[in-house]
Amino acid sequence: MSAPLLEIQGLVKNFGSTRALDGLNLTLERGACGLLGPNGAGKTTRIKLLLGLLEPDAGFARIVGHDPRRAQDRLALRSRVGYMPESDCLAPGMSAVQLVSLLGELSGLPRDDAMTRTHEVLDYVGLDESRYRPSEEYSTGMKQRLKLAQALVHDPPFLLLDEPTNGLDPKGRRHMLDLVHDLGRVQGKSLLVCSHLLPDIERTCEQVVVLAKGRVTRQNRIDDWLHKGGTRVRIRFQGEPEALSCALEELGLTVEARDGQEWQLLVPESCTDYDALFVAAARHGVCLRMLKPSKESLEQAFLQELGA
Amino acid sequence: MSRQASTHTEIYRPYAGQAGVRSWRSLPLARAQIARAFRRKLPLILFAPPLMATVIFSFVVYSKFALEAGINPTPGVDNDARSPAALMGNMASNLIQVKEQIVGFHLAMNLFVLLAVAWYGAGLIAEDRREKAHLLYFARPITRTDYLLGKFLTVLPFGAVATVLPGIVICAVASFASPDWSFVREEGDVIWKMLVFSLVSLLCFTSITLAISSLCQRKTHALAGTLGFFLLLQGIAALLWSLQRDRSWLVLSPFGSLRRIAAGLFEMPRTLGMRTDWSLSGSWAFILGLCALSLLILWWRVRVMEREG
Repeated sequence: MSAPLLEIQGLVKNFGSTRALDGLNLTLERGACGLLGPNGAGKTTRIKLLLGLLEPDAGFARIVGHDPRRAQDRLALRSRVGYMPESDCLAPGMSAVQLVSLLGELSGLPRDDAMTRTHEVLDYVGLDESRYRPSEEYSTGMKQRLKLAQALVHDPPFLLLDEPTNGLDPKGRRHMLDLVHDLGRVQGKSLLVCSHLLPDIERTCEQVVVLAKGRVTRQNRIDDWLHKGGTRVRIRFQGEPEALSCALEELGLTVEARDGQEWQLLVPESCTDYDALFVAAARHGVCLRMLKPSKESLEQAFLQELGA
Repeated sequence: MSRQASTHTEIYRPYAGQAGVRSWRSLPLARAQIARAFRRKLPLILFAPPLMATVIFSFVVYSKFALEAGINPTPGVDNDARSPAALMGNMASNLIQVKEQIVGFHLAMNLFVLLAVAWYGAGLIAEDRREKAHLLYFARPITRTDYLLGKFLTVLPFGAVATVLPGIVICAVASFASPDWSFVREEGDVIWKMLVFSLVSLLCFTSITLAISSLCQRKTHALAGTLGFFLLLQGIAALLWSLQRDRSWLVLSPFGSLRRIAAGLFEMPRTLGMRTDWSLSGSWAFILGLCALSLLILWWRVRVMEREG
């Protein structure tokens, strides 16, 4: 069995009196994982700890088999990890070609290889002739693609992507998500994607980790989380709500949300016969006008999680 | 109808080679930044005064040896001991000393060295901070030492062109012009002293410039801060000297301390017509203290940059 991609045990990090990470425990296998959490949950702190930019106060982390606390390991792991920061961070006065090839060389590629790789990854992210222009003249979308290119130049097996679609227009966002999806699902890269845009995580990742107050509150495969406890269906009805409630109670169905005459129900996996629902409703004088499966979004699940 | 170039495949190609942690990691950083600095040609005008001074001082040194040998630079003149050429030779031998020329050159050019170092060094860390480029660098397998070394290696060549290279040229002219390599045999120590003095002044200017750059977020601020720092110390030293009538206050001026260090190294009681009788050890302590303080500030600031992002 291969070693986990990421292993964190009891990680604690304080900034003065503020505890950013509070005994964080996490194990991640290879694949694409989304990192969710409200502002101040400790996402950026965790990334910095993983890259060895910060020293933990307690606990340890192991990433792609390396311990970021040890100097030699720290350098080795940085050559195996690609990091796309959230904020705009480009070297002034350099074109995309100069910047990416420099970062390729700093990552340990020979000079010629770094230049070849630079053009390959710039092709991949779709930066055409503009790659020769100074990067400060780039649009937000081009800057995001350039940041992804520099994270890929040394072909790392593990990518840390911090808000990859930040500030992008819908077209740019779709393109970036396509690239991230391709890297995770087709190219077999392991990804850790931090994003506040939950549909982005849903689109690109297989599993999700929720951080709150410096701790992991949930770690699930996205599909498992969304289908927790059964299937969601939405119904629209005509009649007395109390009567429908009685009918649903008889069948053992739970009402999760009520919006006038339109409700969301949680149907247990054991219940597969929807005809019984129509029959029970009719028996109580209620007419069902619509029944359709409800696809719960990650956003709803995340909000429920935070609420809990 | 537009068509995409055939090279634009948008297919991810895995890297077939091996990326790893390499030695001399600061060199690519320095090379890229030097290439970037050369994109603007106008600042190269800063090197014009040192270039002209090199030509003038080299000519003076050449003339000394040519006159000493009794050879008039214009051939075909009688070499009689009472001839004007012989008299000129005696005068040149007494009045022109190579080490005086070298010290004179360096002290006269110190301001231009500072300007070159400040121009090319002021933006190096400040612009990285403003654009957050350090986030990209420190996510790579480089250490803080590599990063700082890369910055020093970017600035030092520009400073060296204005100070070390002209010194070497003047020494080379003296060596080739002197009869039977007499300059190398009799005054060979001038060469290494020139190198030591150049490197000390370069290290001082570079470390102070980079330290101030690490405290700013714009090149213009760092440039003004660097020049202001030197002017301030120079002003304080000059003010205290004139108020107290005590030349030892000049130790507080970087240029004054460098002048004293040059006088001590080359064993000259006067430099550029001025007595240098203030404390030599005080001057060394002041210059090395400034360098140490700058390096400490640099280390602290780069550590903060790495951690805070």
